[in-house]
Amino acid sequence: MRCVLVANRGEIACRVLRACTEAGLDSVAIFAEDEAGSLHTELATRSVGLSGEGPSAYLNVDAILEAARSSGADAVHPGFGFLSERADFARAVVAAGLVWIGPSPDAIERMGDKMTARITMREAGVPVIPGCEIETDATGDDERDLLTVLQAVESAAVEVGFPLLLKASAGGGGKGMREVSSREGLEEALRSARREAMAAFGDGRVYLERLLRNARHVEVQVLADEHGRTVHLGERECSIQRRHQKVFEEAPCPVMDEDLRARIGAAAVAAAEAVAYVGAGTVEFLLEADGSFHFLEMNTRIQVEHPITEAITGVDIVAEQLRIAAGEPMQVGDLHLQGHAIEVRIYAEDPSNGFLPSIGPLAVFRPPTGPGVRFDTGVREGDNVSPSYDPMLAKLVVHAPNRPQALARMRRALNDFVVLGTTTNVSFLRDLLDQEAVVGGHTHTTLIDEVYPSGWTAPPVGEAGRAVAACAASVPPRSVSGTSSNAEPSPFITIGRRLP
Amino acid sequence: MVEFRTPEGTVEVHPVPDGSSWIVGDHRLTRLDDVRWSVEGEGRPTRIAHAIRVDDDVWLHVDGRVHRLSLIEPGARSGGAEGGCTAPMPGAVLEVLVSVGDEVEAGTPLVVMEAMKMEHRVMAPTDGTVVAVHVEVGGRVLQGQTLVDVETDVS
Repeated sequence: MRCVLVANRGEIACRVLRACTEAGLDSVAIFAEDEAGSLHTELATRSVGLSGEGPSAYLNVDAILEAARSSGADAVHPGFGFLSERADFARAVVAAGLVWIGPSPDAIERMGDKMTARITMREAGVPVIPGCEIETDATGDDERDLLTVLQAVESAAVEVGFPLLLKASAGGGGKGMREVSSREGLEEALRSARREAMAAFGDGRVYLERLLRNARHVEVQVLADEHGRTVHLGERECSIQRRHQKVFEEAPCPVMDEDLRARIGAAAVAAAEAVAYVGAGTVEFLLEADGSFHFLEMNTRIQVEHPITEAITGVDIVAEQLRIAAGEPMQVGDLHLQGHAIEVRIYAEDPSNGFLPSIGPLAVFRPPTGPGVRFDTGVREGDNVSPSYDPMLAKLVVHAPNRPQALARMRRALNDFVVLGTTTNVSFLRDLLDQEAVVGGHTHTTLIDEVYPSGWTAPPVGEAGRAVAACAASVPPRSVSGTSSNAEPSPFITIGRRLP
Repeated sequence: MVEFRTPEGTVEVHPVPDGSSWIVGDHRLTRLDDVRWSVEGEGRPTRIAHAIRVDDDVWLHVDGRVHRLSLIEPGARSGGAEGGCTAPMPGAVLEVLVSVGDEVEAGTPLVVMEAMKMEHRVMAPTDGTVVAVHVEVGGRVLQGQTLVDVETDVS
């Protein structure tokens, strides 16, 4: 393995491309026509343009394999999203004689189909959420099939009980998932979940799960190599979500103890071994207040929130993915957790307007720096946020000796983050960090709805802010280069002083 | 004089030049570079603020928070209240749930849109009657485009 094509874009492409460089590997970036010149293309040894604009370009298997051939890549890293959990893509990569940096297509299939995964886990002795898989015969007549499924859903719902979650078997990340509180809501939920799942995954099958209120979303990172070793790297607490999209993640989980960690870790390892898993993966669980936990799903890829595990374990998960794919044994010692890490996801969205996605120029984009701060992004100042792609702009991660210090560090980092020209959720996140439930670690999946029952309102601008805004509106803009002759030269520039 | 539209209402600010600085009320503001300003006043230590104008908005970062203020240009008129329901985002129309003549209540879903891979529902802003539907399923719409007109019932 000498040259890795990263079949992705944005923040995760940058993360993987940097890992390739550090591992001494050449790399290839791909980009859609509307992403020429984006950050990830500059971090690769070579970059190859794909035809077409928008996400569909990154889903074109033939074009990506052709890019690998033409650029001399001998391995493919899928990142997350896009083709990362598509077994047919993994198969095509292997069939093209390339190294697939991920688990076997068979493992992806068995975990990717959530209904099959539930059945596999039950058989492996891993507890699953009480629920029911809806299996009906398809006739090809969509309206007729829908009615058949609806009947099956209605009778299964009686067993499962309300409120429940109706989920697409091919779904994930909140897509194709609907919360249903009563029988009357089933039909609309089914129609829209099926449609979303058909559009996103081409598969409209659904299953039901009891909605476990006040449960924590706790997930376990696993790594497995081809030398028979499967380990877990501890858990991540990802309870703070909005519309089933994670917003705030931390490791370790604030209520974890050694005994529970050992049991949930063993369940995660058992889940991975049940599908002969190789590579990095995440087993998600719902953890109830009484300490019981249920398998939710396994993500057969690198996850957005992997950096918090890296921070507290000292393991570079992407580097291990590369090592494992090359057939080497993983270089991971005994589990030893150090300190506390928190990640927040920076989205281009408007929290005071129902969190609708926002677009615009990143006219000023100055992320925080300093001790214990990690900032992973795929954009930089001057870029435009397009409506075509996922609105996640970046991940901000802090690491500190303990949870209170990690919270303090995150508050400081969010205060320092200057992003102007596109509305983001930064101020909302900063507000969230002061909420009692977050400070106390009493997190659960409906926390945001409970803390902000009527939405979130941006704080009013004060006197000083109005004054600055008025002055900024009154003066003509200067050139951005910073070398314009109008400005009085700084003495430091004229002296040419440099620190040793 | 600079006038802004904020969620709290219209705000007028009168910056007065003072050498290389500006005085606004109790604050002295000095431009440090293209986007950075030093802010003195309120008996507090000097703070750094960031501000930039993008089209008709001034974006501002001060005291750890970002604000967006809409400039009111002299002569510009603020738009009157409309009964139209507009697309919050550029995207595609997935479903049109109402037709002309339908009675709707505030909050009734009118149109389902898809943008950034997520579904969004556009709701009726008031009780009333649908008098026009401007989009059809599968159509693409621009941000701010009127999707449905709802006329408030006269009663």
